Amino acid sequence: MDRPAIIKDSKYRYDSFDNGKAMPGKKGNRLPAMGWNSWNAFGSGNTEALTKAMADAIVELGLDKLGYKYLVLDDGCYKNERVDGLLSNEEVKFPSGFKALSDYIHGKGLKFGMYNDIGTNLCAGATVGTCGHEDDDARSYVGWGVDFIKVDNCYYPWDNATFSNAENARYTYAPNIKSITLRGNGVERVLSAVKDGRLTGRVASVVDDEYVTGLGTFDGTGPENSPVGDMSSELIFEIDDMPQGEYSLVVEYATGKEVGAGQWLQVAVGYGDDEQMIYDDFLKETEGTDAFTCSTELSVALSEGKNVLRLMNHRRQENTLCSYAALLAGFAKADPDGDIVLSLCEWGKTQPQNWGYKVGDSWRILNDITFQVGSDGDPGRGTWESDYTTGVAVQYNKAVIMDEFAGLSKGWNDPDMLMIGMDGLDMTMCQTHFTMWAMMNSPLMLGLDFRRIKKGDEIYNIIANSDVIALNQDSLGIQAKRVYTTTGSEHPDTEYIKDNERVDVLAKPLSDGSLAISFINLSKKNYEGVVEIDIDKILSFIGKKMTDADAFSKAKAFEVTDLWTKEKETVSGRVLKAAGIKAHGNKTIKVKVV
Amino acid sequence: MGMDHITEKEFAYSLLPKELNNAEYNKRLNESRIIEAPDLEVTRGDAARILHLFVKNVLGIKDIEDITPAEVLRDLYDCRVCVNHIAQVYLRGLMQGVKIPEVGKDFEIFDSKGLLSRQEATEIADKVRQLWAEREK
Repeated sequence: MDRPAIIKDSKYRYDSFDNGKAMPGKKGNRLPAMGWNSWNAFGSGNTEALTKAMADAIVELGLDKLGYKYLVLDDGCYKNERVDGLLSNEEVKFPSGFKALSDYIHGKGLKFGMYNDIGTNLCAGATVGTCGHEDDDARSYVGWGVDFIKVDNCYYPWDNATFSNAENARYTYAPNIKSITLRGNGVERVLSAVKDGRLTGRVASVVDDEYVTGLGTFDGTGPENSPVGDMSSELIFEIDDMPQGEYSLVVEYATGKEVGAGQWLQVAVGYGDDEQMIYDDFLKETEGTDAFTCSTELSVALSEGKNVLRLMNHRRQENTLCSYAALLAGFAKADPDGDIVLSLCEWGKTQPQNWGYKVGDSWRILNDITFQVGSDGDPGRGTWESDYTTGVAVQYNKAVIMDEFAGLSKGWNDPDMLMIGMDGLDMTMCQTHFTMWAMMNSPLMLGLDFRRIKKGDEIYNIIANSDVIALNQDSLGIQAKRVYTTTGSEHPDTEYIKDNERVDVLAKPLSDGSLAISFINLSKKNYEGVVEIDIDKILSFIGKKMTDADAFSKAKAFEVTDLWTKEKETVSGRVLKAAGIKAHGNKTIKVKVV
Repeated sequence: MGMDHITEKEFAYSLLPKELNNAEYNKRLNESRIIEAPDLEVTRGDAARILHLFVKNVLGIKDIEDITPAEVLRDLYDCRVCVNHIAQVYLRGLMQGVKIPEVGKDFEIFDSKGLLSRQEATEIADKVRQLWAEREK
């Protein structure tokens, strides 16, 4: 393969992202996955023996009864190269092969998960990525009895992903554009990109008042940009004074192979079902990003009245969607009745909150939560916060405003695997970490060596809190919404806040008509004040999602249960309070109408 | 094989402390699964992995906890699976970054895809032997 898929069906197009339609083969309606993944615990050093030990421990600890059922082998389990075109097990670490391990795990009443990548290689280097092998690999996974597959994004050939060629940016950004010329029907019209065009979104910009750059989609791997709002930019020309008919279109452009200036241009007239894509390919390379030249003539049909001519590049999202869709189609072919959870792990790079629901059951929202993973005898290390993606608070700060992208019929935002049990996080942090993930309907994938814990110890009591797990697994399937923050934000539900000197209040409707509310102190300082939240304010945000908002709107008293301390109290009035929340701590309550 | 570069296996064995005989060292190397592609030329990223695992698993020296000072390497997070390897060997001074000249101020990258030179490998081995000697004191 030397180029991305030719897109013939509009269902893979950017304009279809908000139509609510999943791809064939997507099962949907799953609650967030719960289980264990080998990466945070053992990195590339996981083995068959360790995995079996974890399976044994999950059952012995009774964690399977609490919902932890998927055991997922992450990177480092395959032979470095394909054998006769197929995936196979690394023979030193996994001597019995994947089917035998799968049988062992299934024999424990658990489910078996594996890992791969939409690129050519896995992140740890093995040249066994699914790119171009989707059908073969899906058959292998079905043959091994796989129930869950996490699919990464390293070495992806159509984007500047990790380990990919940085110059792959040429696929994902349009060239810089100075002008367009329309000729036909006795008319010639030259339109300046800067003066006559309009830029949408936040990515593109004007350079020196001469040309536009940045026609593409934000890279969401890092924590810089809010996930809410337009993630892409287009250059739009609204044309309403030219006769109906066929025209030639010439674009004055300059290509690059860097973030902001690429080589791939999409040109369309109209939107959605009315969209006519008239060009979707490379333009001839120019000598530099400011060495402008004219394209060959493209043919465009203008209708009577107003026409919207769009110059853009949505391939970053479309290519990645196509790759995951190819794997999903492979699974559907290999086993039409199969029920494999597809966990997208493209690190939020291509804004999967816009399209992930079409193919996946969850989608990572950022790069990894820790890069200091463990090994046998070393629990690894996590952090609370950082300037990059590592840390509980960093992942939370993005996920907490992404609730509207998630849902039972869509899938779940994935702020990465849990770090509970790693060095660097105290028990207060771990408890709040678990609460956050549960409230946000994130997959609950543990990443610790279970041989280090026993029933009733501090870590066990966090991961085995059935009341908190029940929030995550509630059948209503609604991610909590942030309804208040002590920063005073007027839009706590959508504002991207990275300053951790604050307390957030999250509210989550539950299927029994009750509400879960978490007061979360992100700060490393104790919060000395009292945080108050009015029931009516909560209703204004999530009333429409509640099963019995009417009862809450009329109630004069509430039964409040603390889901960590198990204390119950009756609160009169319509204001709920939390006082003295300690640093990195939380108070999480279930609220019922009395 | 370029004359200036070495294989993973050569590099791993160049770290051999004099105090251990080959059989003992071989056992520790195998147990630690440090070498992944023994006959391939070692990249700087692979060298960081081998070196970090050697220091941690063979010499038994604990990781540096705070790796954020290694963020001066602009490409630190480009390699998701080797961030910690790079950070550990960089912060311990076992491997250097590569200075990139830029108008105004130079910056540093790790260049994990670049090949490790024999000269660098020799310098690293000398530093590792010093670490071993310090540990034995």
